Amino acid sequence: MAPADAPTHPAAPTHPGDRAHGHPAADASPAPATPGKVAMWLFLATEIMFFTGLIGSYIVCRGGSPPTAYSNLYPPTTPLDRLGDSKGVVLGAPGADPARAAEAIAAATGKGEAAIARVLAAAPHGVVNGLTEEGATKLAEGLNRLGAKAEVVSLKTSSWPRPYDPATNPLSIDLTTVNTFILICSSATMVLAVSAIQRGRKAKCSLYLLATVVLGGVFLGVQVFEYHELLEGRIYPPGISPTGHFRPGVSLFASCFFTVTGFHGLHVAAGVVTLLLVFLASLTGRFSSRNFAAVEYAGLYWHFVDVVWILLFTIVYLV
Amino acid sequence: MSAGPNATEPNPHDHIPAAASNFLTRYVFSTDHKVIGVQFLFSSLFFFAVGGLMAMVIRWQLAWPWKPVPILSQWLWSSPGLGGQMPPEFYNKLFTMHATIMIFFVIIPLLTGAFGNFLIPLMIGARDMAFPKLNMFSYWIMWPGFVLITLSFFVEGGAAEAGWTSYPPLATAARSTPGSLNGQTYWLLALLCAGISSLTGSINYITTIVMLRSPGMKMFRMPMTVWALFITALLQAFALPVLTSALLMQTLDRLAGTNFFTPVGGAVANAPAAVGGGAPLLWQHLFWFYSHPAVYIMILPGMGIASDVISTFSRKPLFGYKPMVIAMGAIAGLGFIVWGHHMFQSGMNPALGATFMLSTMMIALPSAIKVFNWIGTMWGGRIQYTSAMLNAMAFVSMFIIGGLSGIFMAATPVDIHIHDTYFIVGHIHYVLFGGSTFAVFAGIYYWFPKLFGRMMSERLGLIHFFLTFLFFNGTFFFMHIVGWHGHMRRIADPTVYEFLRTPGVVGMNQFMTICAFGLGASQLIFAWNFFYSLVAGPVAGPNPWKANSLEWATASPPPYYNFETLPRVYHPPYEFSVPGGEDDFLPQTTPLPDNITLDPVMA
Amino acid sequence: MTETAEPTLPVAPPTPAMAEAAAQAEAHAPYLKVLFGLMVLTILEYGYARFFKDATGPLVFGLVLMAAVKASLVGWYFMHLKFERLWVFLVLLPACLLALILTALLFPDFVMRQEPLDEPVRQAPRAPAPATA
Repeated sequence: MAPADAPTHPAAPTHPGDRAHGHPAADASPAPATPGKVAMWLFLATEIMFFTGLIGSYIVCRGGSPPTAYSNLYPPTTPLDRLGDSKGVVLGAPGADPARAAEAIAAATGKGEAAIARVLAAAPHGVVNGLTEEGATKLAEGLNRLGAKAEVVSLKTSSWPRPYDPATNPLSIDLTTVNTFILICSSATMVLAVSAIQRGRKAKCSLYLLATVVLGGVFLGVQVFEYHELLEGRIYPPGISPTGHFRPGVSLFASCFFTVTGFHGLHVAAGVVTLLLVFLASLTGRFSSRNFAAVEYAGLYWHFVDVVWILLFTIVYLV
Repeated sequence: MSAGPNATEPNPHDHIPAAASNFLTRYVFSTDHKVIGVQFLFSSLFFFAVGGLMAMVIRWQLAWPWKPVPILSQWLWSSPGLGGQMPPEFYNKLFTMHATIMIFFVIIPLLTGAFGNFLIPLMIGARDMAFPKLNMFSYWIMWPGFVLITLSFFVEGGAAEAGWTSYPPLATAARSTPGSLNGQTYWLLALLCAGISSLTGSINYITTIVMLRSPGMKMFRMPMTVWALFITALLQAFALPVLTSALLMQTLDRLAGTNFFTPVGGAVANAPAAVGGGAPLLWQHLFWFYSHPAVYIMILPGMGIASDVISTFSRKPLFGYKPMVIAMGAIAGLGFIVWGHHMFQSGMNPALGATFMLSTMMIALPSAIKVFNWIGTMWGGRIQYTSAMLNAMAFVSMFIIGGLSGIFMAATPVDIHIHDTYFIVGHIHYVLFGGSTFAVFAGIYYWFPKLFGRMMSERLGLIHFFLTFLFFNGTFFFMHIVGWHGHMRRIADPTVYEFLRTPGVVGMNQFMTICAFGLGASQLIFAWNFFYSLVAGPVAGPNPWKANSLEWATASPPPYYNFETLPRVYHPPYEFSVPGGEDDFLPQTTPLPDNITLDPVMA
Repeated sequence: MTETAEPTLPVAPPTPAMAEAAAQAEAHAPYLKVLFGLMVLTILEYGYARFFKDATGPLVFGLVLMAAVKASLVGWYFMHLKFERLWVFLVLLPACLLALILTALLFPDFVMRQEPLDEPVRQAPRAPAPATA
């Protein structure tokens, strides 16, 4: 076993001056494979298989979802074979007097107070479902007379929540695109940190590491905000969730979404903690152009987390 | 190797670390691979006894259904209302936990944890694993698993009882069985811990084998045991994460209400219907994607051990060393694409059934290569019938029976008849007990002198072997027959069926049970031999078996740094009875005589 | 077969690619260029998803293609796969291959299901209340 402070990256041939250490030449060339690096790549291979289990399940769950699993009017997996002709009213805005809008909805549907409160809270995408064509037209007209914004919609089904469809999909693509930018930037600062320490620029390396930690933290913060909005902060129409909240149990999509992004988030959190420790270690000046394994390995892990996010962003949010 | 510290010029990069200073770091939280291996050995052997006792109770119930078990019934499930009868759900817990413990807490930790840890650095000539602390972690993360799996018997509803495969909805719906109330969650968490242990262990093994071989130890000079452990570690590294993800999904299904394995509106026992949308079959696919490679994880190290033992005690070079390695690699590679043969009766797409049948049949080819090579090694050798050798020979012969019965299950039409019967129980025990466990015994008898510096009693070893072999076949062979007759597995009382009440079936069940008790009792001889030899066995020299591989080139037990100077290796470890030599063995550290050339293909 | 050669140390001389990397390490240009490419691709994905949101085929094809390009860019340049030796690919390729095999073999059971899915779902009869024993 080599002592812990042995150089992990013996001098590269571009620095002939470093050769004067008396090491035999065969050992002084850069070691392309150190045990740490082999283990890191093996670990990443196991991580690939781990995410294969999750993402592969997501893909087949999505691909195998029956064409009527999700609809703009009814909660996921509601049997729709006798509801094909039913109409709904989308409430764009409850108008100046929400109480009267609520009364009108109650009169038209006989729904309970809590259900109607959810419809109002979900505006501009509130949905009143279970109406006949006649009832829907009447309710929409009544609501529009009260100053509310309402329109009649018919049942539209899909096998999976469609992106940009507020009736079935609660995810904000705009927010997540920004978040993707942030994570990609953090990957770039990470590689710049490695490149800086390879050239012996310790201060620059620490700075880039700090930037990576901050960007990673911002990504996590945005994700926590997103989770809070989904779980608690907002009320969603019935096509997303029967309870108004988007929680892991409300649909297979929700289960997949929270599991896949949740485990990715845990990986990001682990990466941020690791990078924070590496950053603090870099402040002590222990990394140099010949000893930067910790920075390099943390970087590999961080880029891997970024790659997984690139795939998740596409598969979960955009497709 | 009794060279003084300055006898040879030490390599300036080769550095002997300081010895652990206190008791705690030397024997408990040790980073020494040998201590960790012994820790794995003892904890696995303890759970081996626990799992074995469960099997005894299972057999009692099958032979004499509902008769109170002596002693146990009083303090395990005694209830005045039941008159000392075993509750059927307790029977379910027993077979579930017997399999879980034997697979995840006995065989895998014994083969990869105990033998892997102890042997890999010694056999490749390294001072320790590449990451000693990670190695320590891989042992101590087992402990939450040990605790959780034991604790699960004492939570409300008791231990898991959905079978070791934990198929949903039995495992996911909380009200489906008492064990699904809480015990299943403990089961899942225990398996996660065992999985993390295996995963960190396998990364460590691969890195060690790739990076830390001693000078001259080319890949094709490594003993078969190391090759087997290397390929096993690869299997674990690539297959286990998928099980981890599946375990996490099932945990979330149980705790967070996700819908991965619940069909639309799925409900059990008047529970409120779930939203669902997932598929129980998804669990089976993900589970078997790991658990089929896992059966190779449980047999490949046994194959490696048997190869080394057989070659040593036949005093002959291993017949076809390189083909053996390639066959092992082929078994491992094919092992990844055959998992569906566990699911022929699950409602899987029939198109997949044919694919999986074909790939499964192909595994017979490399397996047969190995069997022929073992026989070829013994052929014409001067066989020494030591305990280790007899166990290794039992491994080969029982593996043949287990492998042949496996072909029955691999053929979809036959599988329709024997699926979920005692035929499969017989098959798995011929492979796991007849295969892996005999290999474990062979390994323990063979390396005990190296582990503890003392010899085990050969006489007791022979008695133990013959009794075990006899009772093993008495216990498990008839399972094929009752299984073919339709005796289903996982049933507490077969006599509820007319066709299983016939004297033949009942008699065979009772015969198997008596043999099982004999099998259990025979292990007491082993335990006595093990512990007695530990303190009072005759002192073993460094190389009592006159074997070639590197672990025999250092003291028994080896010092914490393994080798004074890292040994230089000149040839594979199977050069026995080299013509013209004085001894009938040639250690790897001794150059081959000039007149000897090794066959480039076979050796 | 006597051993006279030097022991096979796990240390190998640098490949030409590595020497080139060392020379290039001075300049940030490649990393910033890659970052720019990734940004552009992300915006492209965003626009593409918006444009094709109702056409599933082109949507999936185009987006997965772009995601694959992005992932490869990160792997190739940021994770320095460009400079790595064969062994890294020997670790990565089996994992990727197995990932594909697992996902592909899940398709027949979940995506290409055999039972007619448009069959009306029968409401399960309500189970009677549990009898009190």
